[in-house]
Amino acid sequence: MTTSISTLLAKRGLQSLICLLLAVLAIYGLWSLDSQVQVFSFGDVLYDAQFFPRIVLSLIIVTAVLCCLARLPQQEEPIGSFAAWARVLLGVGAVGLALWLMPNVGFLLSAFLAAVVIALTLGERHLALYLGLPLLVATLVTVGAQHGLNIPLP
Amino acid sequence: MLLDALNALMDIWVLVAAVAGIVTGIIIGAIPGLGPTMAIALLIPVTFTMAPIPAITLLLGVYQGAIFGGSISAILLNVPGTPSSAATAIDGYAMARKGEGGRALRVALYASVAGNIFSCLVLIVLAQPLASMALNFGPAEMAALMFFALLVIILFGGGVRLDAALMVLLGVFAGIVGLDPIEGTPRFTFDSFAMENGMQLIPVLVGLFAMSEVFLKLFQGKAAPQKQVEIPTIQPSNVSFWDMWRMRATLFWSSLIGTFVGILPGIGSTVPAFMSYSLARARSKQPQTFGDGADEGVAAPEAANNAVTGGALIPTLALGIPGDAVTAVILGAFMLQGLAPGPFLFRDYGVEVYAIFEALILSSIPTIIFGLLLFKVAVHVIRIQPRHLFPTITVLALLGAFSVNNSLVDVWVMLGAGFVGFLLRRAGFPLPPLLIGLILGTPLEQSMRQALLTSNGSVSIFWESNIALSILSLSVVAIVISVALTMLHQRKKGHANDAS
Repeated sequence: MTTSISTLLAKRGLQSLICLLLAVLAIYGLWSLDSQVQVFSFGDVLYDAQFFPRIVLSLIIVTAVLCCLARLPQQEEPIGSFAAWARVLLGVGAVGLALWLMPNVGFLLSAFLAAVVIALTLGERHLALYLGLPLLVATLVTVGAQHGLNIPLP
Repeated sequence: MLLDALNALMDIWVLVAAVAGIVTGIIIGAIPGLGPTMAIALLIPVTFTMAPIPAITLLLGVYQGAIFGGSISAILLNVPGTPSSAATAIDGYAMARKGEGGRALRVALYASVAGNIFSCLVLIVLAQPLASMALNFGPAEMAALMFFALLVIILFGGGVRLDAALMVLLGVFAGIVGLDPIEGTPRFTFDSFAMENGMQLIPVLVGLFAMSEVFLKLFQGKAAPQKQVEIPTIQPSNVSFWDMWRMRATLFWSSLIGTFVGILPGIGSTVPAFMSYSLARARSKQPQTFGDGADEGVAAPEAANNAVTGGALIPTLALGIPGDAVTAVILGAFMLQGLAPGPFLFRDYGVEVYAIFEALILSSIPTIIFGLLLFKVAVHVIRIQPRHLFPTITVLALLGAFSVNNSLVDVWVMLGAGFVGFLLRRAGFPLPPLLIGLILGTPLEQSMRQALLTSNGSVSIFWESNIALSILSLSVVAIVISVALTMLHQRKKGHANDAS
C-alpha cells in the first residue's frame, strides 16, 4: 500500500499540483463567498451577485478534480530543478522589488534594476550588456513614454 | 460608406503606421518564441496617443508581418518563428536545402498576401450583416452565443479538453473579480478599492504573453543555449505572376479554409495551415513532390494561416467574441480606442471600421515591398541572444501594464498574471482559453442574469427564443461532432497499433 502510494506520488508533477491548488482555492472561494460577495437582492434571491461565482467555483472544483484523476495513470513531467525555480523566483522578486521601489525612485531606475537582474540571471556577463543595454533601453522607454506618448510615469 | 472609409485613409500617418507595423511584425515574427500576440500586447501603449485608424492599422500590420516573418526562419532554418509556420517548414526548408530558399520565400510572401486579401474581402462582406443580425439579439440569445463560443474553444481548441475547460473557467472567474455587473457590489476584492476595477485586460495580456515568456526563459536558463545556425545562401530567383496563377485553386481553397476555420473561436492558425497542406497534397497531380520542395506545399499553409487574420476578425468585431489570443489582444486595442467590438460597432463607427478593413487590404502592397526587402535582414535577428532580448521585454511589459490606467496596481496584476502564466505554460495548460474566458466571462454572466431576471427566473427563456434555441442546438451538435471525432481518432489509432 505504502509502495503504491509512493509510486503514485513519484509520477506526479506540476500539472497535478496546479489542479489541486486550483481546487483548494475554489473551495476557499466557495467558503468565503458570503464574506467576499455582499448581496443586495432586488426581489429575486436566486440570481443575485453570488449566483454566477457559485456556479463557476463549483465547476472549477469538479474540473480540477477530474483533471487530477485523468492524469493519475500518466507519468507527468518533473517539477524541475531547484536552481531553475530559484532563477524564476529571483526574476519575480526583482520585478516585485522594482514595483515596490517605483513610487519612490521612479520608473527609470526601477525598470533598469529589474532589467539588470534579468540579464544577469540569463547569464549575461559583459558589463556593457548587463548594465549598458538595460540602462539604454530603460532611458529610451522612459523618455519616449513621457515625452512621446505623454504617459505620466512615476 | 466604403468611399468615406477610403477618404479617411488618405492620411500619411496611416501609411506610416502600416509600414512600421509590417516591418516590426516581420522582424519580431522571425524570432522563434516571440509571436504576434506578445508583439501586439507590448506595442499597445504606443497607440494610446494615435487616432483609431492608424493605431489599429499599426497593430494589424504587426499581425500580418509577424505571420510572414514566422515563415522566414521556418523556410531558411527549419525553425518556425510562429507555430502556424511549422507546416510551411516542411516544403520550404526542403527548397532552401536545394538552394531555392529565395523562391520559397517569394512563394510564401505572395501566398500570404493572397490569403490576406481573400479573408479581408470575406470580412468586409460578412462582418456587417452578422453584426446587423446580432442587433436583434436579446440577453438570452447573447448568453447562448457566449456559451457556444466557450464550448467551441473547449471542444475544438486542440489539446486536452479538460485542461481547456479548466482554463476557460479560470478566465471566467478572473472576470468575476471586481464589481458585480448588475448589482454593483464588490466581489472577491478583499476590501481593496483598487481591485474594484477588476482584472484589466491589457495588464493580464501583457503578463500572460510577455512576462511569462521572460520567466520561462529564466527557468530554462543556460539549459537551452542558442544554437549557432547556418543560414543557407539565398540564390537570386524569380516567381512570376503565372507561377502563382497556376496555383490559384490551391490558393483559393487554402484561403477559404483559413478564413472559415478562423471564424471558429479558439482554433488558431496552426490547424488550418496543416489542413490546407494536406488538401493541397491530396489534390495535387504530383503528390510525391510534397515534402521534397513543392511550391504548393509552401503556398497552401501560408495562404491559410494569413487568411485566418480576416476570418478571426469577423466574430471579434461583429459579436465581440475573439477567435484566438491575437484577436483577443486586438479586441483590447479596439476597446482602448473607444471602438467597443460588438453589434453596435458597425452602426456607430462604420467609417472607421471599414477604413481599417481597407487599410488591411491595401497594406498588402507594403507587405510585398518590405517582405522582399527584409527577408535577408530579418533572418539575422534569429541570432539575437535571449539575455539581450528579455531584459528589454521586461521594461516594455512594465510600461505596457502601467500605461493603461497610469496605475501601479495594474503592474502588480501584470506580474501576478505573468507568474501564473509561467506556471500554467510550464505545466502545459493552454493560455488562449483562459484569455477568452476572461473576455467573455462578464458579458456571459450579465446576459444570463438579465435574461433570467426578465423571465422572473424561468430558464425556459433560453428555449422560447428561436435564435437562442438554434444556438443551443448547435452546441449539442458541436458536442456530438467532437465525441465522434475522438472515437474516430481512437479507432484509427487502434487499427494502426494492430497493423504495427
